[in-house]
Amino acid sequence: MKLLQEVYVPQVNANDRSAQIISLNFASGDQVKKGDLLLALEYSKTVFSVEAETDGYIKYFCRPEDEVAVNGLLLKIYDQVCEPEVSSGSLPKTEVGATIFSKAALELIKAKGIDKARFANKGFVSRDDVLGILGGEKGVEKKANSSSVDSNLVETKKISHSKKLEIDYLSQVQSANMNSAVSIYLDVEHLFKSINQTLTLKNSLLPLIIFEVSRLLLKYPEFNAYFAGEAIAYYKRVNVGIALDLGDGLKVVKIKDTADKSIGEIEAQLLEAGEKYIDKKLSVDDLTGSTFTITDLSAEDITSFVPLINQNQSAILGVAAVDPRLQRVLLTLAFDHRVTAGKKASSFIRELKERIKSYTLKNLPEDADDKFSEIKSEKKQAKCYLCLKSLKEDQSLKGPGLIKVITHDGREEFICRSCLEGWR
Amino acid sequence: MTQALELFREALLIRRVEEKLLQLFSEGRLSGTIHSCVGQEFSAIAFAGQLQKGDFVFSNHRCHGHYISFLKDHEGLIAEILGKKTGVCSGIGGSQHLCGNNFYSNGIQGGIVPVAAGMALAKKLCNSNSIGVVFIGDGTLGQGVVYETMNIISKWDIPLLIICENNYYAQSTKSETNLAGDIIKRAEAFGIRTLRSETFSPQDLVKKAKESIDMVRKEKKPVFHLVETYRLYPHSKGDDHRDPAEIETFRNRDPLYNFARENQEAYEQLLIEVDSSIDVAIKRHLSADEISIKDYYPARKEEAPILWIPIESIKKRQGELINDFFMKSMAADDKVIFMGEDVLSPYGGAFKIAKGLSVKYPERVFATPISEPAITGIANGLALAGFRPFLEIMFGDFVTLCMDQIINHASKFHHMYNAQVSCPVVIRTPMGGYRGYGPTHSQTLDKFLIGIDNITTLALNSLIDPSVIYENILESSEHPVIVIENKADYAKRIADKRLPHYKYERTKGSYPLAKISPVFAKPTITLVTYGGMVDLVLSSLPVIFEELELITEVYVLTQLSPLNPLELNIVRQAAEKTKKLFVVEEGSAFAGVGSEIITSVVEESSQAIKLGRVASLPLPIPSSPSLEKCVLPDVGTIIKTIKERLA
Ligand SMILES: Cc1ncc(C[n+]2csc(CCOP(=O)(O)OP(=O)(O)O)c2C)c(N)n1
Repeated sequence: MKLLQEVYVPQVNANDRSAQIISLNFASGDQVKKGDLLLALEYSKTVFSVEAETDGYIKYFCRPEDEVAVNGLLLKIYDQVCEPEVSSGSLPKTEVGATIFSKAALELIKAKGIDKARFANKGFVSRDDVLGILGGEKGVEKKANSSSVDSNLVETKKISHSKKLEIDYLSQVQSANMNSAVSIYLDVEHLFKSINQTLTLKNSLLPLIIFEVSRLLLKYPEFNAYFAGEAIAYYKRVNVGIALDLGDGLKVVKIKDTADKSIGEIEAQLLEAGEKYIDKKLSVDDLTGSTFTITDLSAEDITSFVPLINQNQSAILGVAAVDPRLQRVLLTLAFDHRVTAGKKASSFIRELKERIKSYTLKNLPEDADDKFSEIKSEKKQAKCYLCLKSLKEDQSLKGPGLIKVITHDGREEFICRSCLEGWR
Repeated sequence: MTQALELFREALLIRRVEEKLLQLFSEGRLSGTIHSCVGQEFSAIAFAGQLQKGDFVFSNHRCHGHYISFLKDHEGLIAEILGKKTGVCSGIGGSQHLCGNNFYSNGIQGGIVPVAAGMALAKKLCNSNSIGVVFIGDGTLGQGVVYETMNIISKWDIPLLIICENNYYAQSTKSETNLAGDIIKRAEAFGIRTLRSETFSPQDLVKKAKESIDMVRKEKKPVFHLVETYRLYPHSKGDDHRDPAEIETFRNRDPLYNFARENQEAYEQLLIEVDSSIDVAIKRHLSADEISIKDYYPARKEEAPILWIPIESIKKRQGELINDFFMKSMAADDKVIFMGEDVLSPYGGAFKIAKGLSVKYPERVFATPISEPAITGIANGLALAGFRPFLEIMFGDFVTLCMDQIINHASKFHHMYNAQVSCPVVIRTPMGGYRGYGPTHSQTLDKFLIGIDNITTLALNSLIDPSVIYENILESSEHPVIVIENKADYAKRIADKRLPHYKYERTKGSYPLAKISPVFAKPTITLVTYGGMVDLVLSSLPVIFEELELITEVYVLTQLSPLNPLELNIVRQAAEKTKKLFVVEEGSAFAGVGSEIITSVVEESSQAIKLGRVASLPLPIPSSPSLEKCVLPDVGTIIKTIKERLA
């Protein structure tokens, strides 16, 4: 019996030390042909498939769903049928090696009588790592807290193998707290003119932000969710919580079903919540069940801060104070890296900015200064990407304006009502 | 035209070209300097003028006559000396650096002799009937490389004709001041056939020159031909301190003056003919453009993008892998040549890299005398002629003896001859200490081998398969490559021992950059190293953490010169994250490779990065083991340097 091909787990990127077998396309002992797909592997960022380089008889050394180490043996192809044989389970992981302790760390470990085995999973242990264990704040060992899940409120989805690897990877570097944040500036000049006409409170950004955030959360459900150990729990409704501190301590007040409400309705609820706070009439229901939080420190004259994510949520939006000179405000989205990733957070916050900016577009005077040239030129150049109808033409045809859509290949484009809904 | 008249016509053409050039020079219309051969023209005609197609000529600073006689192209010469784009080397070479159609000249006295020998050896290896000719002056007999080459061409039967034009002066110095003994006997001592003639009897000179040429061609052996002559004009520009009476004596012996005196009418006729063709050429080229810097120094080729792949361990020793490469490449490519001292089997070179090669390929393995300048020149000549010579310099310390051939020949040929030639010579040499070999057999002199125009300098290391590097050199290199090997690494297996918690990767390019980085931690310090320092640096990583709580990532360069901008960019980005960049090199720090790496990285960065160099002490490497340890870097030096710089 001659060995014709041997396949080991390839290292496809710098981070992954292992991969998961998604599928074996044959059974050991089967005849395979050159070019046949033999198995598929999932890494944290890619799926990799292995092809036969020759005709022959296959023997697998792994099973579906096995987690296999890089360089581990996957399969062999022989020139003759080989006895099918039960493989010996998943392969040994790549040797990680003994933990390296700094001298300072060892001294402290000795002085405090800590068990060195507590650091078994770490490559390097510094004095800070030891202090972390002592103080419990920089918990090297802190496990991700698994939360309870109410299936009436949420729908759970198992975390993919690739995401698990990423969480594993991050938690080794970052300690258990895996929050990250992205920020963006939002220009508010010319923003309020039209909103002010419909709202009670003048120059208030909050109702608008709640309104737009809620609609965005439908598009980005991972920010309306939370990390539940083995799975991600996605909320079925959008209840934006507003962090309020009107003198009686910080409270997160729930505004219910904000995705179904107009800006006016949202503002009304917001005012009501404020009154209830002051009158100390907030109920338990008011203070629980929010699925995403917005914290508005604009009154505090704060230019930037990173808000902390509330329990059973995956993200929080912080609104800083409007810079009166530059007429802009910093929005910060903090998010749980175990549930989502920086790229998603960036597109979420960028889209939020775009949506709010579109209000400015409506109000922009013809003589607005250069800062708005971008918006103005967008306004001038905007045309339907399907029929190329310009904004001006649409106006002359008494159309409603152009609507922004995300095309199937991920571009942002304008579309006119006729192309969107068909000709009437 | 009779044969005699034709001789005078050609001599007159050479003389008038030079006189016109001197006139242009005095009018300020020509810059630089020229060395005229007025009085010596018949030597050029007799030798360069009687060669065949396929033969080649190497010449020196006094080369105009040789060029005109060999190529019959006074126009290309005039344009060149005028510094014009239309010249043979587009004005880059100028008067003493001509190149075209098998003609080469260079302004380093003596250096062209081994190069000519190398090219003649190439002719011999190709079983060609062609021969080579090299012109030197009597003053150049002061150069050792001339004798090294005479020894080799005699021993190896190389078809090269050396013509020594003895005009009794070297620049301002009379020959007798510096020349001991006898010129002819010098050549005879090497067992080289010699002939003697003089330019004062042109017919006889032409006859004897033909004899020499035929002898070299027929017998495939070198000949040394001494030509007595006299230069009637100053060495180069105006200053001439020779006795006017002496000059007058030789003027009266000059065949051209005598011809003019005795055949006035014929002479006038020739003069008109010759002058008008020169004037036409000057007129045509005086208004031509000069070459632009864009053409001389075109934008660098884009580097191939960086792609990381894992480093594979190889269960073979580095030395064996290099030997494998030669076994394979000499089988596949009959242009590959292996040269060096003591490289014949069974010895196979001081470090056994040539083991077995001379048994399999006896005609392409050359065990050379101890003549580093000459063998480097011969390798250059072979490379110019299309061979792929790999020259082994036994110990890196000896590379200083090759420097003239590296810097003034291999490096300059391509650019100074306006990219008409390339010289893909490869020089390999082991450096490095830690073996008690003492001051002249241990030093890492890489700093002298970087920053040389057109030369790629590489350093092998214990992580990268050397055959990958050598295959790429063979496949892609148009230009000279210097490969620094390391004595201590020859015995190591590739990427053999690995540190836990680190992953080993390299780029996929020709001369890979390696990266050793922590798997599950963020690095907090960036180290760059190369060559023989790699294992020392890797062994220091756990200690750096234990002592300093710093988690190290290491970048290992293969290509030291020129530094690859994409690799520098990677190192810069890494250093901007860790804010600490240290280089570890085995040579001493001042004006070293490490300084260049650091500068190249940091000048592109706007961030504050802590820097440091770990290197040897600025001393010759002592033999005494304990003292050698103090001078060369070790883990302690690395820790100490980092600690001090970060304090
Ligand atoms: C290596 C080197 N040293 C010195 C010089 C400067 N130099 C140029 S020509 C010359 C004299 C050469 O004398 P010789 O070889 O007799 O030739 P000639 O000038 O007499 O033709 C000297 C010293 C040089 N070009 N190269």
